[in-house]
Formats: sequence, C-alpha cells, structure tokens
Amino acid sequence: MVALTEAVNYEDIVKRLSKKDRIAIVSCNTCVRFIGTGGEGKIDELASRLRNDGFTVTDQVLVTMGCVEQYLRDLHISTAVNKIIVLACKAGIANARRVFPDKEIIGGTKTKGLVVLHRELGVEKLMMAYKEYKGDVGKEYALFTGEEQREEKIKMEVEK
Amino acid sequence: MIISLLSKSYEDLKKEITKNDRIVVWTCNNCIRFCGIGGRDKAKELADLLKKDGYNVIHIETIGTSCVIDLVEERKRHRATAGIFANATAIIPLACEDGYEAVKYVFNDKKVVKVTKTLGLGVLTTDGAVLTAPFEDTGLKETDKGYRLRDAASKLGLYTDFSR
Repeated sequence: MVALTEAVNYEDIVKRLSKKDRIAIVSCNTCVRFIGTGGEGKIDELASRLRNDGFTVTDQVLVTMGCVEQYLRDLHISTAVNKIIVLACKAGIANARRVFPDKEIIGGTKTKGLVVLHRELGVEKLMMAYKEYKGDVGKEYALFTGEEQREEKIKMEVEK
Repeated sequence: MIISLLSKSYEDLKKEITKNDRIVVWTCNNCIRFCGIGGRDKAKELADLLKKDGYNVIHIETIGTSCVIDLVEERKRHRATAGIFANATAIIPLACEDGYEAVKYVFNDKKVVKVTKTLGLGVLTTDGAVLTAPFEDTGLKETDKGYRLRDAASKLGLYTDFSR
C-alpha cells in the first residue's frame, strides 16, 4: 500500500501560484502521512506559510486515500478554487487531475517508489523505485519525518 | 494504490509446489484485492483449485497489508496462527512484490512462492483499478487515464486470474 514520497520545495510550489489564485490544499492521509510529506499537520503548515506570504488558501481537505476516485469525487471543494495543491503520491496526483479537470493541479510531492515499513522499528525501506530514484533503493527513512537513516534496521536483501 | 498482476499461470505455480507441501495461501486485503487478484475470495478460489488438484492447503491467511513487516511478524507469533505457520512448508502470497518480500523475510524457513509482478502505482476508479504511473521498466508510459489491468496484462504477458 505504501508509496515513498519526498516534498517538492516550497519555492517550486510558489512559482506556480499567483496572488489572484484561490487555492485548495488536498492531502492523502495514508502513505504521505507515514513519511511526513502529507497529512493534516502538513496541510496546516503549508497553508499557514502560503497565507503568510499573501496567498489565498480557501480550502484545506484531508482525504483517507488520494488514489481512490470516489473519495475525491465526494470532496467539497469551493467552486472559486482554481488551483489545488495535492499532497499525495503520483497516483493521488493523477487522480486529482482526472477528477478536477477544470482546476490546475500542483503536485506537492515527488514519488520515489514503493516501500516495506516496520512500525516498531520506525522506518520505511525503499524496495522498488522509479528510474530517477533507483540509487536510493535499499535506503531507509524514519516514519513521519522521512529522515534518511544512517543505520540499516530492516536487514532485508534488496535487488538493486 | 500499488498495481500488481499475476506473473505466473496456475500451471506454472503448480511447478513450484509439491503434494507433500503444507500450503498457506496468504493474501493482502488492500491493493491486491482492488487489482482483482487477491483478497479473501481470490485466496479461497486459489485454495479450492489447489485442493481439487490434490494439494494440501492447510490455511488461508488474510492480512490488511503485507508490506507492514510487523503485521506479518505478528501473524508468525500470535497464538491463533503461530501453530499453523510453524507447521506450514510453503506460503503463496497474493500480495505485491513488497508484500512478497516481507513474507519471505519473516518466514525465512519456508518456501515462499512468488506469483505476482508489481507494475507501479494507480487509481481505483469507479470502473476498477487502472495503472497510471508504471515503473519505467514496464515500457509503459505514465498517463492520467491509466491502463486497464486486462490491457496491461495483455501488453506485458501477465495474468489477471488463475483460471485454467
């Protein structure tokens, strides 16, 4: 179930926004929350920063799984919103583009690949990666922060 | 959602097990169910097929997500299932490749038979799962519309069920 993501730089998100925009932030509450790139806290953090910088964030929405079409169809996004920042994996971002074709979708994360995770050890391990992140296969990241770990905790052989 | 398909036909699967094996059919109840190749019903279908062919299926185990290693470990030591897994010689996970790796890691003294190929990420639409972000090595391009899983199976020489 778990995709590993990294956050897009705030400056790269801002480049795609103007002060006239009506902005919604939608976050998945599953994989991105586990690695600290999404979830309610991250929505609040991003919304506050944008508002402090003079942008108009009108909607903040948490969705259980961003990759389920019906979940996005059931969201109530203000009609005035013209841009949606999506904190979800590639699939959640694609889903948002499918469901909200009249709005500009801005991906707030980049997807590295798929992981196994161990809650007691507090880490995720990248097992399968998209091409850009192949060099990271086998690396481990702390749950909820995404901090790269120096020491391997899941002693699992990984095909690189 | 992780998108996976079956990498083996039923006949190929049978080549990796013996009539002496004590088999557990293992299934996730999440992504793989939405891909139509796992979940309780599909696991039972596979177990029934194997039993009909004379294989010794001792148990079907359903788990929320196999990619969470400590959940898999819990099954190994929980009093309700520990005995079953101690007795088993082979596990067939209906799970993505990450789930397969987690099962193999936890049950490292068992034969764990890989039957799936994981293709990337996708969306559960109202018409079923589609593959929107395939891994580059599949040769498929990223697309918001997505590939229907039957089409992806056909393009990649994979299977959508174990039916003979």
